[in-house]
Amino acid sequence: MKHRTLAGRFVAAAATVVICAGAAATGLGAADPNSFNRLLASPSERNAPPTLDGIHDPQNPGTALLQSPKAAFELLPKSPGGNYVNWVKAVQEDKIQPRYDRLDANAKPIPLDMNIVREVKGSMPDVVYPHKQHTEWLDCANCHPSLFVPKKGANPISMAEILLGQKCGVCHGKVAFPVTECARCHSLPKQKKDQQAVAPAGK
Amino acid sequence: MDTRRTLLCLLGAAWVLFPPALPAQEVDRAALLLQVDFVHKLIEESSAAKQVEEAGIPEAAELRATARELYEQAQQELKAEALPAAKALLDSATKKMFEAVRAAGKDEVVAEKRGVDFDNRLASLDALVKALGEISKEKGKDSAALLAQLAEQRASAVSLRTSGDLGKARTVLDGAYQQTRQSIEELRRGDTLVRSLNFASKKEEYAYELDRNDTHRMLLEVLSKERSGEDKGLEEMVQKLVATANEKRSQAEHEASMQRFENGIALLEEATTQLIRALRLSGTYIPG
Ligand code: HEC
Ligand code: HEC
Ligand code: HEC
Repeated sequence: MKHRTLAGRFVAAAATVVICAGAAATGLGAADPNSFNRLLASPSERNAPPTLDGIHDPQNPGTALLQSPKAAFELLPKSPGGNYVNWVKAVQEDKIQPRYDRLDANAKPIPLDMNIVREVKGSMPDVVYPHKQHTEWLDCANCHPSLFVPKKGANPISMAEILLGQKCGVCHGKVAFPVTECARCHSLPKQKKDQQAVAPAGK
Repeated sequence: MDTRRTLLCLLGAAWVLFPPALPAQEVDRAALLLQVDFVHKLIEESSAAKQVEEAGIPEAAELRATARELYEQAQQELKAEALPAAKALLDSATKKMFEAVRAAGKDEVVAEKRGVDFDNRLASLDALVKALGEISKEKGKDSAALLAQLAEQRASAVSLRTSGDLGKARTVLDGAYQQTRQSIEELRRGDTLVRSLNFASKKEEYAYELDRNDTHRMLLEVLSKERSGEDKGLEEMVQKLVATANEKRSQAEHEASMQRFENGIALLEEATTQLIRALRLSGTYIPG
């Protein structure tokens, strides 16, 4: 129970910070096209305490009072990149219970169990886009239609766009696991495709 | 929107400056003086203060006046070295000022946000209803009655919005949205759809290969930031591969400009292979 509230507080603090950083960032940082990708910071810079994270004002006496992400994340399932938490597992194992509706504390998501496989040329495994893991947190309207037309194959997506923070990169590398974890998206090896394409969606 | 952002930032700043859980024990004098300064700016100079002034809403102006009085009283207590009392008054002044901002923004900000939210939800409903129609056809399911009912709900929501009843409009719209979402879930549950890679022409395949080449260049650039160049020999090998890749790519672009897309594709594939080698050397696993 304890870590649930701690993690919750971290999320609240992060939300405030993101909005404030947005206000401050206009006119800044436009030069480096990859500077958006905060979670691709080198490993030693990840999950820095609030006084060193480059987001909070280190001069502010309150900054030192904020909980460090490392402490908040300690009991959550681990992941090798991003902020080192596997958030998909954290939900599946009931370690966190994200609130689905701002106004209704009891609202539960109705996950959509549907996969979209996108074939990739070359040896890179194909991409499986799972609706299930997304709709446990997100609403259809978060993506449809502003990010993706809800129609198989209607949206051209390239890895370059994702790295520039478009399409899947609107979230991945910012608020969801980063682009460095190739195998979580490229999860369908070429030779296994025939068997798996007929298997049920989801996990 | 600027005002909303300001308000959120102020709330954030206040939360950091005055964490609610701190016990009311001793008050640190230096921290208190910082707070005096913060509250003064908040009431007199901040964007929040400007917003209250510009809104011209009496309720907001009164709340700000109260915040000012509380601030003056806090100054008195500070002079008398009654630090806890001064702190309590400053906290109350901050709260009043936030109430003032909220009162000033109520009509304009809230109404605008609710309007935008309605429009976004409407766009989402339209996209999902269209998908529902197509999926029904694909699955041979007769959804005519359902689609007619959804169209009716949509029309009713829009006319409620036009007549100014945004609250009811949103409720009706949400009903249609939930129904659509649920129907899609029932029809698509357990489905895996494969978007296969078919190119209509060599030109299209060339465009895809260009993207693929860009992807690998960018991956190399982004991921090599992690490498920190400690290994000189490795760095040299990577640079050589990149140079070859660049050469092949400009040859490919030349071929494409002559409409020889087939050659262009082959050259781009070679260029990308060089980049994949460079990526592997720098520690990124790319299968194949
Ligand atoms: C995180 C983003 C995201 C969310 C949230 C999301 N989707 Fe999707 N959806 C996608 C992507 C990506 C595709 C594939 C588009 C493509 O292949 O071009 C897709 C495709 C679809 C399709 C097309 C399938 C077909 O029949 O061709 C439907 C229908 C759909 N989504 C419905 C929904 C519904 C209903 C919800 C909410 C329960 C939802 N989506 C939530 C990203 C999302
Ligand atoms: C609106 C935000 C958003 C967009 C857009 C988005 N994702 Fe996600 N994605 C998430 C979140 C949030 C999670 C769950 C948290 C996490 O894993 O970091 C997630 C999880 C996933 C997972 C689950 C991994 C697992 O371990 O089960 C995959 C795969 C994935 N995303 C692929 C994609 C692909 C491919 C696209 C683009 C077609 C995409 N996502 C677009 C937000 C998004
Ligand atoms: C968030 C999900 C996600 C992650 C993480 C991810 N990819 Fe991709 N990748 C995609 C999608 C989506 C496509 C586009 C597939 C399509 O529709 O053509 C793609 C396409 C590609 C392509 C084909 C060329 C192109 O640009 O279309 C390559 C190569 C590739 N990815 C490599 C990688 C490598 C290497 C990594 C890890 C460093 C990685 N990807 C991580 C989602 C992802």
